Amino acid sequence: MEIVVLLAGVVDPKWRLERLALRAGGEQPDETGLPYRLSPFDEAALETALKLRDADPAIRVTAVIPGDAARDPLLRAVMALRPHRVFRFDTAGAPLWDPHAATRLLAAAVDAAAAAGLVLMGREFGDGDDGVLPPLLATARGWTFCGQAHALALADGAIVAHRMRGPREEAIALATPALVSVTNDRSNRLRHPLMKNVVLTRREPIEIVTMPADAGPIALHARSLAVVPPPQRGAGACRMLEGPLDTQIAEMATYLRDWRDGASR
Amino acid sequence: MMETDILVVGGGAAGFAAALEAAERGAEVLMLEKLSETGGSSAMSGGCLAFAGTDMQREQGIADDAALLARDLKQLGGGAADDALIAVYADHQLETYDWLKAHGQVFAPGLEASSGQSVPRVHTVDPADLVRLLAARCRATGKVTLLTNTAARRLRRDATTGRVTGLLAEGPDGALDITARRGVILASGGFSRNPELLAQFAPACEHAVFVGGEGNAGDGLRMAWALGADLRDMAQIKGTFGKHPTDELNNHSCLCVYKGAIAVNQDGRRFVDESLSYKLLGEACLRQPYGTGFQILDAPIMASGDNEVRILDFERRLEEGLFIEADTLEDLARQIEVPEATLLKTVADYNRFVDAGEDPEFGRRHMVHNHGALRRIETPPFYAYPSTAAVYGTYCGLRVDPQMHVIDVFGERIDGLLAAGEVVGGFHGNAYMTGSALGKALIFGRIAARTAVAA
Ligand SMILES: Cc1cc2nc3c(=O)[nH]c(=O)nc-3n(C[C@H](O)[C@H](O)[C@H](O)COP(=O)(O)OP(=O)(O)OC[C@H]3O[C@@H](n4cnc5c(N)ncnc54)[C@H](O)[C@@H]3O)c2cc1C
Repeated sequence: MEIVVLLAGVVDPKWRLERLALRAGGEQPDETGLPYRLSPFDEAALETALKLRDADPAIRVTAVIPGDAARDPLLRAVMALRPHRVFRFDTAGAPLWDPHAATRLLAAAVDAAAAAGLVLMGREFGDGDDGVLPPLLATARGWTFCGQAHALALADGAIVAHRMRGPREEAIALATPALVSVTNDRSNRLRHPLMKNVVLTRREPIEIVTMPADAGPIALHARSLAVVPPPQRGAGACRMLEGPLDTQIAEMATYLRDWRDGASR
Repeated sequence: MMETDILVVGGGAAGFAAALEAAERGAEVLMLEKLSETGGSSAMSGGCLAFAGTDMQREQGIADDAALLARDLKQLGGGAADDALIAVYADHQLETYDWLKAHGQVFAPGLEASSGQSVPRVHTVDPADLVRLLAARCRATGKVTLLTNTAARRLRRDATTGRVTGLLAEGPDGALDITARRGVILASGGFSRNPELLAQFAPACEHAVFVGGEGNAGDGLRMAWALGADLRDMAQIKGTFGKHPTDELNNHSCLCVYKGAIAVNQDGRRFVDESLSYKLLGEACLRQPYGTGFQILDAPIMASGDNEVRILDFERRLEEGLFIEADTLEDLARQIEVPEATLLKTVADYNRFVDAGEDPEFGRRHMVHNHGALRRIETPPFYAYPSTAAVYGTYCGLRVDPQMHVIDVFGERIDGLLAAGEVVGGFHGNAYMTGSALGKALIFGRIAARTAVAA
């Protein structure tokens, strides 16, 4: 079976977004020079695919990262984990925050890989998605959809997705082709690459697939883009204890006592 | 123009130990820290301290003393280490342990044997707490002034006597000219964050990972060097074995080998006597293909770790997904992409050596240094910890005499200039004992302070 993992990448959260702007003359965000990482959801999707491959040597895994050249370091990091194939689906800078355009784009990205029996992606796809892209893509293509799985297993050749629904764990046998969005969990934390493979992939060429011209127009156009500063500390329920140390300790002790008494009632 | 009795450059363990000792002896101290936060490598360290003959060791039935400690240090130094500095460490370590305890320092209950130790003598503290404690005690004396965001730039010398009388620094409000009546103590740490100096002195570590305080760029070293200071052990910079090569969250090495694991390279072969100092293991590792290897262990070795000691916290790292786990050695070999047959043979050979009591390949006889009987690797699950070498400290630098005066290339004292901590060379020599760098920072820091106060 062919598994395609779609990986979005997010701007490295350790990076301070001081500068955020639209491209000169364009309606697209200028993301030049921003470092990307896989999001925890991307990582969970990738690890889930690698685990299936480990369980069944007949499974082939292709990882696809849509985006421009800024994603290439990310591509190498994924290559070091040795899926069968990794390529960048060059989106010519088209952003993914317009869901309909993004759906067309991601469908084209999946088509660029071999006919997939299973498509995996994080439960949220990149910085601009709040979880609509996976179901939208599945619906657009008529694939079986399962959202927020934390594990996939093979049972007699069929794929069974596991997910939590409240206190219950559901096990759902999926008809293929299927698209599963994956949530992060202790059990699907992404493995580390072997140093050997990190070194070897440094020298390997990167495969780039160009977006077909008919991928479709973009409906939503950005007019402006701004950095919203994080809320001031103390604006909410959080506040620093003040005054002499003894006063602070007494206040903290009272707080903890009340909390304990409240919890045991 | 500012003036003080003693000027301390650097707010790590050495700087704070020096400042506190000097203040307790009545001196007025000005301390410069180039970053906005103090702590340096000290605060991010493993918090392992090498002390011998402590009450903790006695309570746990461990026979150790200053003489055995000195013997281990000499053996590790391999002739390169300065016997006089080893003697200073050995003679003053116990009093520094007691001094820390008297100041309220708490040690983790367990004692461990690690790199270069014939008996368990790793005394573990929370390293950031250690620095905070010393800083708080310094504040409480009312005699120590700390200037953060203030970097020492150049030492100032008296034109006629040659004595170091102070230095030029740069703070948030511009240049500062500071006079130190009784001396300047350089406690500015090593240079693991200075790529040019590393390329110059440690070309063999090109592929190593570098970890250390952000401000550790060798400023103090270069300032003293500019006055003609002699340098020691510059050729001894080595990476420490056991750093996971692709994990960015754990700064510390993991030394399963010291609990009985073996180290193999990407070909599945052992390459070293794993009981040696982890600096020597690091050196050997960097010569292997891809500059990395794996520590191979089984379930009992995994269970023998100690989650309170950062270099032996195996189970914590297992939880973090850093170990590769398998029910058979064959499967482990597949996962780490090492030839199966070779790994199986390596482990089988090693187990035979353990039974026979002799390792004809590399001569390993103990778990670590002269401590601990070897154990077979046989009970599943099996584990591999990917490991390369990381340079945590440069452990080389200024030549000092036993009073911590900096000595110039002609063997003469540079008057008014003292040094302590990682900026000092000549103490470790060829290899390295766990806990001796943080130990040296505290012990030598206090001695430098005493010398300056007496000046
Ligand atoms: C991850 C890690 C783990 C380690 N674990 C251990 C361990 O368990 N046991 C052990 O014995 N050793 C350990 N070491 C080594 C040990 O921590 C250091 O050798 C020791 O702490 C050095 O202390 P120091 O005070 O000399 O330097 P540091 O603690 O590095 O302090 C030097 C300070 O000087 C400041 N500074 C530098 N230049 C200037 C300037 N121009 N002006 C003003 N300030 C300046 C720096 O910013 C820094 O704050 C470890 C090191 C690392 C990195």
